[in-house]
Amino acid sequence: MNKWNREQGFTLVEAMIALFILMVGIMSLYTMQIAAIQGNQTSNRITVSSAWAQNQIEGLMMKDLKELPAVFSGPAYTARSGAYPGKRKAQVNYSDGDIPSLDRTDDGRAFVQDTDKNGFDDTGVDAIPNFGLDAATAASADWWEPSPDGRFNLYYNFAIDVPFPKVVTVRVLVQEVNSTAPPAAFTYIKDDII
Amino acid sequence: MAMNDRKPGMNTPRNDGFTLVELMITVLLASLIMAAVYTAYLSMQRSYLAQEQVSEMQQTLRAAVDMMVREIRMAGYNPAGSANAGIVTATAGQLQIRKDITNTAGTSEDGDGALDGPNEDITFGFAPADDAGGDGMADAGVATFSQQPFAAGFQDMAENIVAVEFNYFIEENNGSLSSTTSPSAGQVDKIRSIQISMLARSDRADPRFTGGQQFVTGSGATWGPYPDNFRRRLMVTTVQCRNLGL
Repeated sequence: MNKWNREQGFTLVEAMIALFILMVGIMSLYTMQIAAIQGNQTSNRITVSSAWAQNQIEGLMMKDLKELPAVFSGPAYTARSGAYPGKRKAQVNYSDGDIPSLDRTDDGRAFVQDTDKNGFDDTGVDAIPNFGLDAATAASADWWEPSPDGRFNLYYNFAIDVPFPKVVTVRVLVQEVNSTAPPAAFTYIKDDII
Repeated sequence: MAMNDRKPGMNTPRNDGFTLVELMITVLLASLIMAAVYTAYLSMQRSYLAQEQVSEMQQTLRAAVDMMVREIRMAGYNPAGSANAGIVTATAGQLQIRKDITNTAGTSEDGDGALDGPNEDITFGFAPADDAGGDGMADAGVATFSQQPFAAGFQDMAENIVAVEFNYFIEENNGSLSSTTSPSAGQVDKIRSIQISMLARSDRADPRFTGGQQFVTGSGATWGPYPDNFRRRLMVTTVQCRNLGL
């Protein structure tokens, strides 16, 4: 047998299959690019939102707890539709003249206290379940506010007398509006005594 | 038999190479692939350049604000009790602070009662040439933000800064805080916290980016919209002056 008979090159079909495989490889390059752009956008969002959240927290830490309504009554926000129109207001009562307690929201719901001091809010009197320090919705958080540009929401959670009496643990979660991404969380311990 | 020994007329079927049509199809497909690769490269290059501009802007902003925060936090530090430390001038665009942190030569770790050492008297703001009105807005759209230590020239802190705003929290007689960007002479001594808003702009314009965004400063003022091709970034930070109001 003449071995030159075997020197037939590729058929068109074989070449097409090879090119198809190459195209799949190149498409993965595009997928990679899209993933990189999305990652950049996400990190950009987290940077901007955390910078804003940190400034809001600094404003909160700057004041006494009894001044919380003043902290939270800043610029008037447009009324929001839904179950909790407008913003909710934290009202702080000094129950025994010393220990501040967050009492009620302006829609009359009880502010949820942590009476058993396990670090999680108890269920409110109107039996709306609250989710401790990790509440990241307008309905469940102890207070919330939108960013000036409306891109982000900030959800405040307070646990009173945690981790020890006369101290409030504040966890603030910042999340992009209409996003399913997990919020960035900042936890602080606020103490009026010092 | 080696290839070179092959003689003409030998039976060499199908050893004809490509036809022109096959070659054209190959070239066409190869150019399609090249076009795809090049498009991917272009897209990556664009996103890299944009990202570089954004991160540079962010770093500039963060570095400048952090430096100012550290200096402002020490304002009014006065261990010797005799120096005139504190906030000297406070406007929306300019802030002068004094602190007694060292001796005249700058060799001591503690104050000597005089405010003549290095970095004991600093003014933050744009140089007058860049901001004639002193309102904190760069007259040319963008300028270099600087600090001016006493008896020294302006030192660059951050390039490509569009605007800056100092918002002052004043302690009222009843203990509550109010904020203003233009404290009166009597209010300057009652400043307890300072909120810095700084807007940076990317170094180069990106024709594919259209601005028009508005920025809300710490005091609630609005900057913009800027209908051009530059990216901008706002940073707002509050500094609590630990050495004021003691």
